[in-house]
Amino acid sequence: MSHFLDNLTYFTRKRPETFSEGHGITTGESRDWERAYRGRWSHDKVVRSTHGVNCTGSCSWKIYVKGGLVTWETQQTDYPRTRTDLPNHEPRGCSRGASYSWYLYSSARLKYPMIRSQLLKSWRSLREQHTDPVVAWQHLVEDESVTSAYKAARGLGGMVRGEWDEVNEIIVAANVYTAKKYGPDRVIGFSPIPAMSMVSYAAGSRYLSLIGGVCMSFYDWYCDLPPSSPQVWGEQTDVPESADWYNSNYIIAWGSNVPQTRTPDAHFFTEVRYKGTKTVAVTPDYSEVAKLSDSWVPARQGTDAAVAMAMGHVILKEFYVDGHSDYFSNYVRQYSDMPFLVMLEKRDGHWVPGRTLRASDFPGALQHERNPDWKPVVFDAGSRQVVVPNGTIGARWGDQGKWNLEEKDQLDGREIKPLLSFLDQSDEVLPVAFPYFGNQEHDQDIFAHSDHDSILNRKVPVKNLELAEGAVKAVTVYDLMLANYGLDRGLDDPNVAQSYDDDVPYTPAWQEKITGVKREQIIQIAREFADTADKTRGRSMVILGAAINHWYNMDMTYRGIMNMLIMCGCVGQSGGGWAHYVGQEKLRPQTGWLPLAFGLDWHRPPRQMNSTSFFYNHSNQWRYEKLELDEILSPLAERSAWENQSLIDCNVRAERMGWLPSAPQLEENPLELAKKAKAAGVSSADYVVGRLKDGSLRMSCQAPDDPRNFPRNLFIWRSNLLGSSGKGHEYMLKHLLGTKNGVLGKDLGQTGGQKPSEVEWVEQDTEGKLDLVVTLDFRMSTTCVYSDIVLPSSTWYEKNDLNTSDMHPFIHPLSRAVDPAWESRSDWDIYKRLAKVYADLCVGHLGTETDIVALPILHDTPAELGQPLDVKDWKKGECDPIPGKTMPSYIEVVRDYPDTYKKFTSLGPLMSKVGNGGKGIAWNTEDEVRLLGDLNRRVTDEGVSQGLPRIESDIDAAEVVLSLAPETNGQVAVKAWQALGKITGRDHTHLALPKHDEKIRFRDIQAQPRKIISSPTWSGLEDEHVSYNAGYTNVHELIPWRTLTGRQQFYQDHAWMRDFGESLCVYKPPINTKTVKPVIDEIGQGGKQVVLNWITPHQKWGIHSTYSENLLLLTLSRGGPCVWMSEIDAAKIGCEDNDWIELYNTNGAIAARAVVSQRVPEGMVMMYHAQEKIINTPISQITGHRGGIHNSVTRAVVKPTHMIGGYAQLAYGFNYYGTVGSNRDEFVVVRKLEKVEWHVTTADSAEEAAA
Amino acid sequence: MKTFRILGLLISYPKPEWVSHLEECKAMLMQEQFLPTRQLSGVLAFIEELQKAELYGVQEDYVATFDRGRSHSLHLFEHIHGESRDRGQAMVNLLSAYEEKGLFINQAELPDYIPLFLEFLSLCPVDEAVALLGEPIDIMATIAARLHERNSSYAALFDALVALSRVKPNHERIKSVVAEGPEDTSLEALDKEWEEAAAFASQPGRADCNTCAAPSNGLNITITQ
Repeated sequence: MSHFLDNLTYFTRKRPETFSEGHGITTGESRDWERAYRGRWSHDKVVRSTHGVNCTGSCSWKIYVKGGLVTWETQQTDYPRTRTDLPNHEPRGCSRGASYSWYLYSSARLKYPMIRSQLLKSWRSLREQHTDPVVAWQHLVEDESVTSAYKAARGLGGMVRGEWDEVNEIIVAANVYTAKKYGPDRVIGFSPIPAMSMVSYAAGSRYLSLIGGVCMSFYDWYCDLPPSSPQVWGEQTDVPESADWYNSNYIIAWGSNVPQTRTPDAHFFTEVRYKGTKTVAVTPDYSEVAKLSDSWVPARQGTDAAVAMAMGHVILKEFYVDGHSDYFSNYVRQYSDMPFLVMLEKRDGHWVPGRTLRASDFPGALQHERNPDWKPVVFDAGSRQVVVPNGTIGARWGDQGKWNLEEKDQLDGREIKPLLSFLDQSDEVLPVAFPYFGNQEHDQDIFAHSDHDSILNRKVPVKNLELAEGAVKAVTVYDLMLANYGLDRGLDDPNVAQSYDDDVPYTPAWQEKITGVKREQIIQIAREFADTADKTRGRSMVILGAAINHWYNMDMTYRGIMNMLIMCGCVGQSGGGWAHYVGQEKLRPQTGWLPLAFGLDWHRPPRQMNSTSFFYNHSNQWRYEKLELDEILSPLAERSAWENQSLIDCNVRAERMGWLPSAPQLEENPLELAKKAKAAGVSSADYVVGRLKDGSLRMSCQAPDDPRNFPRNLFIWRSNLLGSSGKGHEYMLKHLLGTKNGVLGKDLGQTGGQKPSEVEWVEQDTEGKLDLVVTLDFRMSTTCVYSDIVLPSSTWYEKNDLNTSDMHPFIHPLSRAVDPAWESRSDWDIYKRLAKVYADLCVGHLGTETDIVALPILHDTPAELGQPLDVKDWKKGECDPIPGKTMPSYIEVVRDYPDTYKKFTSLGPLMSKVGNGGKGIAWNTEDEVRLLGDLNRRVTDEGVSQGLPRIESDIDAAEVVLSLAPETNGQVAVKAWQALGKITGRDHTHLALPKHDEKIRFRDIQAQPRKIISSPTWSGLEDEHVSYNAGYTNVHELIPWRTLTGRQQFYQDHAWMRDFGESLCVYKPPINTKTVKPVIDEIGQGGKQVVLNWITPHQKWGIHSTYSENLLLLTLSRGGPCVWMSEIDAAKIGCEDNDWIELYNTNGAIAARAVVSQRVPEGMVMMYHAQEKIINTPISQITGHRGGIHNSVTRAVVKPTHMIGGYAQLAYGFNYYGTVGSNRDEFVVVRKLEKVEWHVTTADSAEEAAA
Repeated sequence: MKTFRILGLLISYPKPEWVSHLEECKAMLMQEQFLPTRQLSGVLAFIEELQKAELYGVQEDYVATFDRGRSHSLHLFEHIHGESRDRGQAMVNLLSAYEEKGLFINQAELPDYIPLFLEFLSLCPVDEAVALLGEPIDIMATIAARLHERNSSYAALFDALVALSRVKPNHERIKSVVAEGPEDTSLEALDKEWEEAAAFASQPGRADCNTCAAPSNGLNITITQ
């Protein structure tokens, strides 16, 4: 018998022992032990959230929750794909972001509302006597013995836990009393970067806007705003997403430390090198990006403009003068102001470039009826006539359908070809004078100067033109540019460069001495950069960062770089253009968010203030000003016009002329002014204007030491204002807070310096202007330590919110994975509750009130056509005071204060009545309001909000943003493009029609981040074929830039720009801050010291600019404040690595560890931004107080050109234009700290802290 | 034993609601006589001091002592896991241990909060409670030592906890932990504190993965390093 039937066909009894060709092995033992691991990795749910931090990352994270607790998180990897030829985004995230998560349960977490016990004690005893909390606050705040006690205790510990109801009552009582007594504009709020958690931002700004409080800007104050962007493009900041780096063929990382500060994006930077793209780093130190790149250009800090000018010189010579590129010259003719005409003026024997010629200058205004003052002109090569091309700002606000970049005569639509240069058809050649600043001697040797004259005369071809009022000599911007760059046009000009080796501004040879960079390197890189752009139609890119923007003369560096990009046709092209990544201000669904954030659905306009001017003025930093106008005026300016003027005077004039906003606004309570106006039987505006004119009423900025003008209540949320971003930290401690401070310098009264002429000087200045400082945070930051009341807020895994970034095109949620721990609450819930308490407590004090809101002349509104040709000050009788034209508008806003809560929690009627819009485009929004009513349901309670869409929860608020914004609602996007099409006369709807029915809701983005929809709010596209790149729609859809000419502006013709020598880009050295000399000898006492330039970059061991005190990061770094310096400088003071050192100047002092490193060049010292004062900071032997932070040695110094307003793109916008808080021109004295003391007593005080 | 609960109460934020019941607490402590005499009188002295003091001052002191910083954190796992991700799972384990006893947290607090843990112990049979207290006893002793250095009256409460445990703390270890405190401000000590240890040289036991232990039968609140 065979065993045939015993043999199994399908089975075997022998367990297979190996599989996968022997790589796998099967075993049979018990696997019970695995249960432990399975338990370890099991969870109840996974929730998507992100870290709402200001690093621009917006990285997706999976949050694992078990038993109501966050147990761990991992990076999420499910981003939508990019395209076939592009690497994907995922995974995003960095080790620092990952270290963030344990703030949730760490000992740094704020768990309960905290309040200064002295304040609480006084409050409780007064509250027992007065049943009305507002009356109790009145008694408290009017008793100086009480207020001075708790103000002086700020930063010194003494906090106790408070109850939510009680602290809410105190806060609101203060707000109500302040509004009633001084005006609602004395209640101020600071919160930065809405994009990182926009609903949380909106919670506070909605509360403030409804009660008439003031929201403060951050982007300009942080000095992350590059004012050159509004100057050149009329846009705050618009940049490519990081994926677009991969489309580039040549990348210069200029002052941007990509691998360190842009970690989740850096992979594109490295990946693109695999396809042959060259990368160059321009940094003074041997930074991470210098190590990563193919070439390193070690330009001395603060001199980058000289590098850019020299590179521009090379590009112009090789591609415009000696050589030629069709692509470049067509690009600049159509997309830049190069062909526009500028008039020459005779001044002190020199021909000086004046303003651009306008239609109104010519006979019959060239037949232009509307806005001829605002229509700059070009010379048409074909007809040989002066014409107004399509797309000027005059056409934007008057001639429907003509605002586009088609090369046509706006009048009759005839094709034109604007002439770039008069070289071949000039009537004469004249020497034109250009200002030169590179010869200014600096107090510190590190900044070298050259010996060229202050005025450089260079020959320019000129056309003689007949104007309505006589002849004028006209030149093109192009010809001016070439002369300014020092290029030889064959005009027999001895003052221009024959070769790169001539030491003539701005040649590669000229810059060597100033920047320390070899001329060969400049020539090579400039040539490669331009050659690549020529061959690839603009795929050369510059990634530029805070390091070069934080200087007083940052505009020159930035414009120098922008000039290179525009000359090479890179802006608006995939893989090309500028990439400024500082301070994440890409609030993608901006137009949906604005109504929610500023209560535009109920009242318009809101109160908004530029923070730099505010802090400069109200923290009395101007009283210590050492920079005089003489030092910064152009050698060609008419100096007599600027006599007896100081920086603060310029700012006051700017506020008076409607250029910049004001807050507080007027020295009298606006609620009272409205009553007086009514009693006088005139409109509020007429009343205010009349009294301003007769001088019986002043603006608050004119008397910042008058108690009527103090900012009284300050809210800070989502910010570490005092620990990280407070330029002039010690001045803020002194004058705003009234507590211990380290100010070492003397004010103008003591030094006998020049006093301002527009501002009242009071010998005895004020300390402790703020009555109440309230901070919302989830950790006890330096700011919290200085606050009176601290409210514990939710972390990023405990609230629902929205987050967007300019680095990638997705909209991302923050999700409430777990309930807020301990007694913390979300920002939305905190402010919503305050609104409720406000509505209750105001009764009897504030009812239906008329408020008068001062509104500056705003960009992207018809008002930006305000002051066309010259600067005229009504106060000096140069013109009439006309609100909205020559001064701010004064607008009546009726607030029914007891309705504050009802308004907060519903979408107001103005959305249906007035509609929505942004950046000069408006559309009807009734459909979206209806949708929101259906989605969020409608209010049923009787009253002002009945029938309106509800906004109860943070998700409701998010839905408002998503429904109203074109970026997240396809229907709105189509409407918005249609609205823009009416103005441009071109059809743009094809950009959004494919997504017409797409509506992104909050739960959608929780499921997966969604790519936003292309919208006219932004100048790039989100589609399947190109990566987002700024200026793309300008170039490809022919939508003008929102500037005077409608083009990219090389030339800035405003009178102040010309007076300060910035009409064309030039090199300006760092300013002399003069903070060393007054103290170095007295404090130094002949010991070993060295004076070094103060540089404050973003951290390696901190989460971007804010969080550095978590245990992991402290462990990885030096565990406390440290400062990087060179080996050479360390040797000069006998200091070794890790020694304690002390740094000081007139602004204050710092104690820190030295990191002695070859990375740092001689002459510079670097302290990473925002190392908390609360961590391991010893006592400064100079001030006797706890060591100081990086801003202890800085002070804000404002710049007049940033105050310009009422002038096309140079008109104010919140976070768009205005003074900026630069801080890198500063020098400090460095010496060894001989004695290290801690004075540790209590754990929660900045003064006696350090745990 | 109610003594555990009373100690927990005394370690929590001083609020009028319970400060008004201090007489009862004293009476109960004396009735139970669970604490050794020396520690009992220490705790009673603490209570008497609390009764005499102005409440705001006590609260300020409490906030300064416990509400910020790691050294006296009242959350056990702050001391064990710090900001490591293991902390989440450790808390979950503790939570399930409570739930096995039919106890569910009713307040916005974490399971490793010492007063909460002590209330839990007060609901356990004495032997078990004493054994469980032994697990984190090094932490209690460390906090006690640090509070003594600060001359904080709260030290008496932690001394009492240490006395109640049968497991005795590792004094050598605690001494070394406490010595690292910020009080020693000599440059050498600071240098030492800040010195970066070699990554793999001498202390293999300090590697992070060591704490990834699977849930055991205990509460896992022993200092395992």
